Amino acid sequence: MRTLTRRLMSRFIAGGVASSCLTGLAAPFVWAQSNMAKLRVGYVPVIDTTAFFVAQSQGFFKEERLDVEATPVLGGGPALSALAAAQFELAMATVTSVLLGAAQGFDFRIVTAVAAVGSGPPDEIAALLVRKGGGIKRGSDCQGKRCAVQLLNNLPWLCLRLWIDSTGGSSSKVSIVEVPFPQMSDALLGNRVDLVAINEPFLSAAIRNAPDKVEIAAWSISQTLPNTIVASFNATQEYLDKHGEVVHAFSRAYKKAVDWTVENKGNPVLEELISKFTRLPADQVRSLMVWPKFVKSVDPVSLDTMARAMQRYGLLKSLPDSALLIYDSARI
Amino acid sequence: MGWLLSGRRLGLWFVVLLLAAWELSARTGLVSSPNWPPVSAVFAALGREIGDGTLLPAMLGTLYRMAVGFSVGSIAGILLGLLMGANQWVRWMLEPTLEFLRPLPVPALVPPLILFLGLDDPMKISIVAFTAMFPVLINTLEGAISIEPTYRAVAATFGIPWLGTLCRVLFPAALPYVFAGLRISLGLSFVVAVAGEMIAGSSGVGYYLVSMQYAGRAADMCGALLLLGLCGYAVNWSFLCIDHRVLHWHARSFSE
Amino acid sequence: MAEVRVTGRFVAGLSFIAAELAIIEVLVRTGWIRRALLPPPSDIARTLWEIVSSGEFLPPLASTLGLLAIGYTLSVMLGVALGLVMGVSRTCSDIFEPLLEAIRPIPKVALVPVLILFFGIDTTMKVASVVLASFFPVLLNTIQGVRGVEPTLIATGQTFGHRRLGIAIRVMLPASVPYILAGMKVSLGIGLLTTILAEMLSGTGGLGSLVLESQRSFKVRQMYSWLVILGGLGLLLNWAFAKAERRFVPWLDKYQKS
Repeated sequence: MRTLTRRLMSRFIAGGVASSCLTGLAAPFVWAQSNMAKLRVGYVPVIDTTAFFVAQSQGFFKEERLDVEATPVLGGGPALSALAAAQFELAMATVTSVLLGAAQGFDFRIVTAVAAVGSGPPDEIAALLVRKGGGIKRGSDCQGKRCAVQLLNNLPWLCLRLWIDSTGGSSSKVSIVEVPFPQMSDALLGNRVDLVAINEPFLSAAIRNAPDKVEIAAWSISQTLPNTIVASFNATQEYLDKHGEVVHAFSRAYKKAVDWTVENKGNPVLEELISKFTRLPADQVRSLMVWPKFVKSVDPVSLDTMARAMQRYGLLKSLPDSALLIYDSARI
Repeated sequence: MGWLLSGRRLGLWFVVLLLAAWELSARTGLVSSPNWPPVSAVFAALGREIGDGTLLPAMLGTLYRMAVGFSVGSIAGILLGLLMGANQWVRWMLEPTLEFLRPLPVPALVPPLILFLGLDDPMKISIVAFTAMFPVLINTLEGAISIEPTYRAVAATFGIPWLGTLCRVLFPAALPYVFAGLRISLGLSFVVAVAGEMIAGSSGVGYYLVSMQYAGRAADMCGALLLLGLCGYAVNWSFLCIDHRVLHWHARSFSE
Repeated sequence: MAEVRVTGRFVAGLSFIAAELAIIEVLVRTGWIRRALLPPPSDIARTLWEIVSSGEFLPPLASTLGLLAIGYTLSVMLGVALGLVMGVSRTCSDIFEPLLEAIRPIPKVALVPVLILFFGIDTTMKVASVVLASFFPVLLNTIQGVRGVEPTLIATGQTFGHRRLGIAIRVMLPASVPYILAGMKVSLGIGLLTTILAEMLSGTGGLGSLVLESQRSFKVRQMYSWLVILGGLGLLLNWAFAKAERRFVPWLDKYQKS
């Protein structure tokens, strides 16, 4: 009788210990959701973020009494997710990602513009690159070919489809695959893909590397969604409700930086700065073919245009309320 | 002369041979791509990066996170493995859940984890611990089960209580398996620590690798890779030393 | 008695899972865990049901399984062969060990740029990365097993007049089987992991790219649903492995329970 109870007891203890081990492993999840109160910013170290770094280095943030802790992240997606995890107060991302997140119930709000495109080069960030003599000049030539983008279901993909459909092709019948930017040149030259939607600085590097083998078929964004906002800094409504004035201060400093950047285009000081935070060699910075357009506000109309394109290609089910998504710091 | 070609030095010559082939192919244009820099450029870049003071702190950060994650995961793995090996009920209860969690690939777990833990150390350490736990657990369990039934019977005859059997019979007997598991786990921890940083990092060697790639500096990236390989080798070698000392009683033989 | 054991096993495992899910459901609904980060399991279950009942999950599942099958088979063959050779011959081990030890800690993710250069972005590249990553556990365990073979067994083999190759195949290989199997089991996990990773890096179908795509679009319910399907696949694979193990190597010690 006693051994039976002992056996049962030992089973209970064993079960208890095992469960607590597993629960222990899960504890960080619940614990880590407390809110912290600094201005931590997640950014992507690409040329689009120039104004942010100008604000840092020229002391504009300090003037507004902001202590900005900047963390580089490899993409807008992770940055936004970290925003949702309250690891950042502000995160940089493509507007497409912000719209996608908002549609799924995340309370993202746009607080400043980061980069935009104009109506054509040099205010552009990406191009559609093809092999010379490959015969692709319009969307209709893409039938049966393979196109590559950095990320499916995001801005470059959207623009590619828009271009194909508006130049005689049918984008739903074209094969679009994902290839990371640094590998696009190899994939194109190695005949693995026939068209790549490639951003700077890889665009200039690809052309420099094999000028007689590749050519630009079209400009990715300015030809399909001209004068659109491409990337922005974002925060959660939850944070804005409590610390709106901090974000306004950030926005003021940022706008000053945009003015400074526009004034100092071509200045070696600016080029050194960009080289430092993108880790791009300075001479490569100088020889970039196209630059993003630095603007100070987000136009709800351009947001609507993008949302409509996203809806057309199945990324969004319903159109968002652009006015709601843009915080007042991002308006003129 | 014979000394030069004996033992492990043979392996090192092999590596040198491969490096020479790489250099030749890059310089002669046999393989022409910005992603295939010549070995000499890579070494030059490596020297520069270390002197710069950018690469070493990143490497140390990664090693730190890996160490913490590995320790936590391994201890959990050994404990759970022994428990499950000793007690059938525990095994039955936990096995389905663990078997379900185990094959979940770390890259797939990173997105939900970022949502909960952000991009910092807690997230990176968690994924290392999660990855490290399973091989150790499986091997420990395998070891605990494969133990000769005689040993257990003897322990029972002596009236050793359940906990005692666990510590003094099961654990030592399972030790070779545990160490095999630890070795695998160590390698995995290292890889996952770096891979985690590559997917969604903001510091450490993994992040450095990707940012060099995106900055078009392939030579720097390869230099960091070399350092990574060297570090991994060093970590593994020190583990082997510990392995040999603890398990000297386990038979090892060569057919020489 | 056997039926009681089987039922006991099911009940124990299932009740544990049920308890965990119930706890999560409560935590989410009461707001301890934010809904946007982790939807309640009931919501995930509903999305999962939609995906499964519409058959939507079959093509990506087939794609992932196919890639895994090829990669895993190659890894095991390569790992056992090389492991046997390296375990038996000191010279071979000396030649290859430094190179392998140097490659092993490098995440194959970092090697993808080079792989794309040589193999393109298609199946060949993915299979190559899977094999690169997952043949190591099998290799290591085979070596460990071969080196740990009791000298008595080898001596017995020599008494029977076998030469080195014969001993390797007839004595060492069978004696190392427990180790090799443990390595194969781990390798299966790593193989699946690398397959998923490869799919994520060059999104051309498969479960891995679907998990990532849904995360990028912040479709959290879909993301968890695909993760569950992925977990289910893993479960299935391990169950199949255990079944195969029991069938082909029933003479293992662990199956000789008194």
